[in-house]
Amino acid sequence: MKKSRARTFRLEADVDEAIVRLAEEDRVSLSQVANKALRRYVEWDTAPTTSGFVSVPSLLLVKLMAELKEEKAHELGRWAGKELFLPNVKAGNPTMSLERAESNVRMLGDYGRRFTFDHGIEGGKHVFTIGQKMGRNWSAYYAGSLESIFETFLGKAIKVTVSDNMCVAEFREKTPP
Amino acid sequence: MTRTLRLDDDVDDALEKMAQERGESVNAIAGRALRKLVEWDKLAGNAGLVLISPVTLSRLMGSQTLEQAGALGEFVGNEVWKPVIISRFGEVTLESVLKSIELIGRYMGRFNFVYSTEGTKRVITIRHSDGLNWSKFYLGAATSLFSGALGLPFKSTITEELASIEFEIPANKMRES
Repeated sequence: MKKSRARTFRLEADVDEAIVRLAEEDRVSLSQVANKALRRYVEWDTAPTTSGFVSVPSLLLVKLMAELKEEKAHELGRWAGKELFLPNVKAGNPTMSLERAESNVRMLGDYGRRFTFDHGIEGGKHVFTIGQKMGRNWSAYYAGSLESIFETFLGKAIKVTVSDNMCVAEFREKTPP
Repeated sequence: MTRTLRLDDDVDDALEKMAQERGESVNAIAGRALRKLVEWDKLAGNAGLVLISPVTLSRLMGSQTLEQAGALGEFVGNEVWKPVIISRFGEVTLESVLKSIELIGRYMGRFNFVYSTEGTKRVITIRHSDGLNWSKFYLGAATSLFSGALGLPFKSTITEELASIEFEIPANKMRES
């Protein structure tokens, strides 16, 4: 169980009434409502990796990406991985590692709401899965991004497959000589 | 009013750190985060909003023709914002549309919204720095909401940095404007 401490806030009346209503609707405590909102604020809204991101309707992104050819979507993903994602990870902490990059991808998925992310390991084989519901071109986009991210850390090409709603990247750990 | 909440230690520590870095109180930061939660987050959820880097978004919109950008704006106005306004405010009125545009401008961070009145004349200006395609997009969204949902024909102006519409309010609708 997480450790917690009490803190007293002075809140504007309309905000206080609204969070009371939210807590009642969701059948959770006021503290749970506040923790969730404040965690999101401190973790996401201000993180170097993600600050400056903008909100748009997912339907708009579906339409915009659908206009591209799949290769272009893949190319855009490679560009975004190399030119946007990696420099942002580095801005947060110059000591980059695959683990830090993975944690940032996970955060993008959790808070950005565009995809889910999973990492499984079986017999030295790592499998990274991105699930999404915005069309095949978005899978191709994430494939391009994962390729550029992993190639940076592993120094070699990785195997990536795409389907309409999923992108899977795989690589094997180096076996010691 | 005052409210005592239990915060997870790591959330409380992060708030303290942020407050020191920014030279403001924990209370001010928490108040802003909680206001965002109650004013915006539910509406964003209903609209299916996702987060994306503005640079990637700009590349995607840049690949559209002006006509496509306008059609996308109309599509998003009809399929996203109109249902969201109904869900949040109960009906599409001039007042609920204006309030929604103000919230979208404030929290989506894409544009500044200016609304001015002179007798029965109303002028809405969306200022941004994203180029002509986005102006056309906003004009398309305005077409769906003002001409379509509200039945208010308008004159429009677009430039690289703004989309502006001007319309007259019928005397019997003056109260809500």
